[in-house]
Amino acid sequence: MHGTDESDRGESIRFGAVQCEMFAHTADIGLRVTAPEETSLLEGAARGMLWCIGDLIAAPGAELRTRRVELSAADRAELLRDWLAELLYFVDHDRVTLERIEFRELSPGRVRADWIVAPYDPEASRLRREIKAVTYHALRVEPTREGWCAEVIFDI
Amino acid sequence: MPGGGPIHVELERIDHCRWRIPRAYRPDMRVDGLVYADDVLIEAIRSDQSLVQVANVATLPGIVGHSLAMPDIHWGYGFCIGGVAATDPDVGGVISPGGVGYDINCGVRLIRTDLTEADVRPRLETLVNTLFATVPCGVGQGGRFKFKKPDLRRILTSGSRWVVERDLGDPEDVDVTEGGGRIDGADADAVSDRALERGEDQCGTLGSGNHFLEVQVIDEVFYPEAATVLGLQRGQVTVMIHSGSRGLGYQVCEDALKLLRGVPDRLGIRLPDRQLACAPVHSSEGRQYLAAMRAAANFAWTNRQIMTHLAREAFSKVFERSPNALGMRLIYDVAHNIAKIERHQVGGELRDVCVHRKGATRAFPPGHPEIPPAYREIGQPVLIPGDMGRASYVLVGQPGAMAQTFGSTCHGAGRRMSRSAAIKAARGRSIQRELADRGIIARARGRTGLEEEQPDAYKDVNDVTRVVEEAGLSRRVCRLRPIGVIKG
Repeated sequence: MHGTDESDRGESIRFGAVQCEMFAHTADIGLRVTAPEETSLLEGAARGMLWCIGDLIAAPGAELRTRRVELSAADRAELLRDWLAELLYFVDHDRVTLERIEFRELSPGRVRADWIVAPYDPEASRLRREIKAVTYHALRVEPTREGWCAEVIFDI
Repeated sequence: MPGGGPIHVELERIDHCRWRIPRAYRPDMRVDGLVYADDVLIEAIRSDQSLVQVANVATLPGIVGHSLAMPDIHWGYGFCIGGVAATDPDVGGVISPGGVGYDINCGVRLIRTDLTEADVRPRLETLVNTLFATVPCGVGQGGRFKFKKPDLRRILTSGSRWVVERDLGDPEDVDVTEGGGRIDGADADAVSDRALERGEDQCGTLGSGNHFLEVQVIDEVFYPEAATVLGLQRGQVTVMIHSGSRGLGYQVCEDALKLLRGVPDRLGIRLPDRQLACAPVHSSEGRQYLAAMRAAANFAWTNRQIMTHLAREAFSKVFERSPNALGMRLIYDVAHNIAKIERHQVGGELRDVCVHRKGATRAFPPGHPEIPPAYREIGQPVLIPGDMGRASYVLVGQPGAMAQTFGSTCHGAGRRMSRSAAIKAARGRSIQRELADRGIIARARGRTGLEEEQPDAYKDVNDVTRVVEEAGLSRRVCRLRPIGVIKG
């Protein structure tokens, strides 16, 4: 995977068994996600991307909505990118944050899931930066001894 | 596995500001790479992976001349930021959305005023706060203007003129916008509903990242004759706006990259980076992307036009005079993420080539017919934002740009520090206070905007502009020192 020396490492956060870590890229931001299995890798990457954007706090009493997602791609890496790009569209356009994910099907090139989302409160949320897009550059999803590791670079 | 750090690329020195990546570096390179940098800048360039990206671009089918890199290059995705590549459509030349970027027609405009620093300094804090309240900026910030799809489609085909005709600007603004604020061949039907939806409330918004609005003072004039033609002089206050096509443009690029999936394999094009996905300019996919990209470019010019109107409103409120009475005239507006079909000399004959400028600015020389008549004798104005603590520049295009770089020059200072490193370097410091100590009032919406964009994160724009001048690509007219900054 990408250089893993200390100088490359940025902030990190854990979501249960999933580790998310920003890594250095000159103009943009890289996200490295390690997870024990593929579903938690996808969920962790989604949460990691939102963490890069900021602390998105659901509006008090906001009604939860369900977004059904069905994606097919040539390989795991492309599927992960499409998954994140789809979520980014909803975050940017609908201004929602992710409450939970219910997976319905996951295979190497296909995912079906429900995203349970809620509008975020722009006043209460602490936004750090806008992610313009999820790029294909240096995109990787690979098995590891502990599970899976993914790397993706966001255009900032 | 490639690392996040530098990858060694052997460079051949040509002269004090030019370096070659020979085709021998990689067997799939179709042309040499050519990098503009001096001894100082080349060391910064070697510290990331941008040189590999220059070599990667040299593999694109139909590329002519060189895979070019300006002195502000740094590691991007697909193309390096600061890259220029021209392809010849008549010999299978491709267009690559990665050579334009997600922020289609990200660009810069400069507005002059009749005010001096002495006029502005007593009300600077009020002015910056008013601009911050008036120009929407930051993540998830919608604008004051919302456009339904029929109007958006008009913007996509007509560009900034459409909003100027609705009292959001002066007719003269269009005359001094690159291409008249519009590029021919835009097709709103090539833009997806998703892209239109993302654009509905984002026209007239700054965004975040490196986008900004700055109040500046001209602190040095290098080329007085050109400054006079432009209406600029030492001590004068200016306003610079840096933004692009917002969510609409990002979605157009996203859609295009999906559209192009499978095209390189189908045509036997081997790509060193998925982000370089491409299609022949003359293919249906290539034509569709060009039409959508042009529509997004028109949206971006309109976006900057509306922010110009908002900035004029803010100045008018603070100084209690009309924008006209304040002399708030647009100097120029340039794109620095775009692909255009332009006529250039290739191998001794004039060819219509597709010039990709990814973090690079058009810099046509004096006399070029695409320069507004008022500026034609001095060359096309080139606006180079530096960083929020140091300076920005106005330059004009020079004949060397046509001879060497398909009429292109640099677009900014170029990052030298990653965002993570910049945040680490800012720990325990207040960038806002440090800027205030230097007489610069800064306001930012995002939590880490000022840290990530701090002056130390950038190369020295003085070095970058000196190199493009010495290389004969563009000539410095004046330097602009920031005194007020708003960021997303």
